[in-house]
Amino acid sequence: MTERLVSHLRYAALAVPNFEEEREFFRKYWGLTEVSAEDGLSYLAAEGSTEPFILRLRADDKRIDLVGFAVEDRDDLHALAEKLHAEDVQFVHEPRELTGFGGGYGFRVFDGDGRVLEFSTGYQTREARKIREREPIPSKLSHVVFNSANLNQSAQWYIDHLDFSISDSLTRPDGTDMMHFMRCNATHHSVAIAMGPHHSLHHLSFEMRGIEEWMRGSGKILRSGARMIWGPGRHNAGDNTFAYFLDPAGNTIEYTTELAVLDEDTWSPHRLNISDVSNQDQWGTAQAMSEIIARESFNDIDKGLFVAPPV
Amino acid sequence: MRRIHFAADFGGYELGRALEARAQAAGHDVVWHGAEQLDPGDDYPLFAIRVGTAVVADQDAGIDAFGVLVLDEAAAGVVAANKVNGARAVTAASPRAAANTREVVDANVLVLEGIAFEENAWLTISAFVTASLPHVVDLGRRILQIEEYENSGTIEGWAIQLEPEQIAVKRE
Repeated sequence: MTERLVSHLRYAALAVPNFEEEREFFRKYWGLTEVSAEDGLSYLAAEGSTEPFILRLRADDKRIDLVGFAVEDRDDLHALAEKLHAEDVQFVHEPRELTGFGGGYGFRVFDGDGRVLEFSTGYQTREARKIREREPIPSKLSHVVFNSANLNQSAQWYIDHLDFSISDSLTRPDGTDMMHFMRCNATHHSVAIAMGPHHSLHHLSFEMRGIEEWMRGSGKILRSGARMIWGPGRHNAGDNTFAYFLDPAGNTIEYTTELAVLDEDTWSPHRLNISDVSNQDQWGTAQAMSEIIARESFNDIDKGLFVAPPV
Repeated sequence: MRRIHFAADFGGYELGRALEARAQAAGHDVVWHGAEQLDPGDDYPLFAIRVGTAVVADQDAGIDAFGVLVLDEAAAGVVAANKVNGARAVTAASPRAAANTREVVDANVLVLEGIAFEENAWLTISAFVTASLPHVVDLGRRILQIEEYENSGTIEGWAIQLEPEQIAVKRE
């Protein structure tokens, strides 16, 4: 099994022009807890997660600010930094004490397409609590999905530099790759990359406690006026249930539950043809993945490529 | 903590107050939405809407809440309460039937007849508020289809840029 220096996904950070509306949506409806806020910046935690925050919102033109990953300790962090330097990965900043909420020690780089990634360790964790039965709030950030104009090149960067593995892939009927689900631990995927017309955020996915909480939460989001653009259904790739919504900034966000945890020693990746409806939706009720449903999640072109966010 | 929103019309007032007292004694957080005293001939729709609205607001806020209506005509209360977005009101005449409504459709408002036998009515409420949706995805999916229609007039996750064959149901 591959030795990985990245331990898990920590958070996603987005910049949005309608900051207050987005912040209110995530607090009031999506079920996150604001743990720190300053002018034009909001840190949102999930009650079920020990991460100090799982989503950071910033008021600015729409972009992905960065995606944060955890590393076990400083030795691993320095080893990863040295490895990425040796591989000519472009750094935003070297390992140093982090000054954002939760602190810690870490560094930032640009991935192969120019998205900013942060690797950190030793940050202040939060006391998590068990989500109550029927409590319609997320327990943690499940995964982040990017659109890429160059799918395989984008995915290969994560394999080459961060030792991610492909857990499953979706293909078009002609066999070309459409989406790769990638893991950095036993969770089926923490990152996925989908073929799109440009680089952008495809969606953020949030894990719910169970089916009952997933259903209750999704009902609440429907009542908030957000549109459910795909679902409810259950994926074959990952075995997770899904319901996708559009947030006020036009980003796709998902409530999911029961994402598969793999036995990495015995797992072998599948290539699933999207024209076979059952590959995308085990129940066959959420409509097949098509160009038209994919388009809902193409999102606006990411303006943050190879531009480091100010914080 | 479990919260139960109660209301009754003229036909269920006496039983409704008795059940409210039992629920309080059993340690539930009880909220009364009915008239302060028996009001002969009062109308059930307002009570049904009040209870349904309170239950959905609490559930969305993460509070484990249920509603109980005790009415002259239970079926009429079901119709009224189900006009509240997110309410899933049912009648049930036995504990087993009440638990079943929780299990198949995550019912959140129980409507009883005012002529019900108090002991059985209490056991029915107890079963209703303690049963839960089984960990079966099909049930959750079907409820979400109802809720999607209730909110956007479509079923199956299609809301924007519809192609003709994807248009499910129109609200008008």
